[in-house]
Amino acid sequence: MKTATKKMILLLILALPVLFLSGCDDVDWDLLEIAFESWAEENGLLENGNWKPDGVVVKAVEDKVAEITNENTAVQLDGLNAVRDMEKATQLADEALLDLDTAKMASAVSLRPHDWTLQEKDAAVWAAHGNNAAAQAAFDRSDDLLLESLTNGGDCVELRYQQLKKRRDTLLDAAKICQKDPNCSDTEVEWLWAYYTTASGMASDLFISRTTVFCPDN
Amino acid sequence: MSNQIQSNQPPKKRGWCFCAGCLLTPVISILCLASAYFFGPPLASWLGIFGDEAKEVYQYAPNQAASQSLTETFNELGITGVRVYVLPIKGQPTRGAFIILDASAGYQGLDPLDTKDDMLLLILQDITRRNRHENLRLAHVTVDYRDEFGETATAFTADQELVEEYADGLITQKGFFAQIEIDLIGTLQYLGIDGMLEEIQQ
Repeated sequence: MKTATKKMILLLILALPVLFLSGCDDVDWDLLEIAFESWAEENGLLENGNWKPDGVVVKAVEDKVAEITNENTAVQLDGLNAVRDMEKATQLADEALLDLDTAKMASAVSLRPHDWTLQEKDAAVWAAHGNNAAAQAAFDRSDDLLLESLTNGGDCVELRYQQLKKRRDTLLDAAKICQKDPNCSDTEVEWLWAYYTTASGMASDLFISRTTVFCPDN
Repeated sequence: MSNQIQSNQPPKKRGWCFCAGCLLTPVISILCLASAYFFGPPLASWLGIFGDEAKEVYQYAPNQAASQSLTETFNELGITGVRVYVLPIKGQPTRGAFIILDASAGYQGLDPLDTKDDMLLLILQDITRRNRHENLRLAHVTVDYRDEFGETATAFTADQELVEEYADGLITQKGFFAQIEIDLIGTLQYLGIDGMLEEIQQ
């Protein structure tokens, strides 16, 4: 049984480069072959040109332990799942903005509750529903998250500018959608344009002055 | 004689508690093991024994300007189907760059224009240049190869220090690849051999 398993692992290693065929050209092919061989030699999977199936087992166990204990490289690789969540949340939020759907937006925010870009979209949807208290709460949350992400350093002015541009563009989109939506009242459209004008003005001011009271050390 | 008397006595009935104990012991043991597996790592992270989980480490929004800048690296080389996200790392002054080479979004390889240049080196040199000039504060570069269905076929990660050593010509390509970290388990799982992995892990 053990020998069969080892043979299977050996076959898998040899078949691994086939995986890389999909979506790859010859350059990728050659590159990945070199990458895999160099990596396998360094990690004890390959020795003097001979595959060591035991090395795969050892490496797989090491990787699993690293994953459980959240070692640095394991977290970096697992970060790709965070990226998938982010992509899914962004897609959901974009759909929610198009439909002005607060429930769908809540699902998007729940996937990435610390992402200020989603809070901006949430605020725009609430404004389109005439709930200015909820919209303002989302704007405030977005501001808090932005400052929180700067705790360990970063260019506050630049990031604030990015946020205001995002706010301006999101509100512009929401206002256009709301104008076409029969469920949106004139007052709601007016509110959205008012929010947009404010955000646009703030972004322009910051672009010119490069200073803001928003940033504590500014 | 006494033996005979004893053998004629009806066997002593064991209480239901004994049977319940027989059944409950393995069930409780399994539950304990399952709890340790699922709740142990988060608890250890919370107590500071293990590091934070990726979901927490990369919880903040991507830096739009940095992400756009690194996406330009690929656009300028004519490489399509690539997205780059630069995410802040919680508790650190640095960021992680996640490069998604997505065949489902039109990725056709690193050299679609067939220039015969060392595209990997050009890409890493450009990332290094942008990191230095634009103060992107990159800590690592993680690459995700996605197939035509958007599924991850394989992935690898490299510390920015290593990327810069290679970009600056301090190490060879082979030396660079030897020190990256390939997602072995993820790649094997992509092949659909979860059962075999479980066997390995036992």
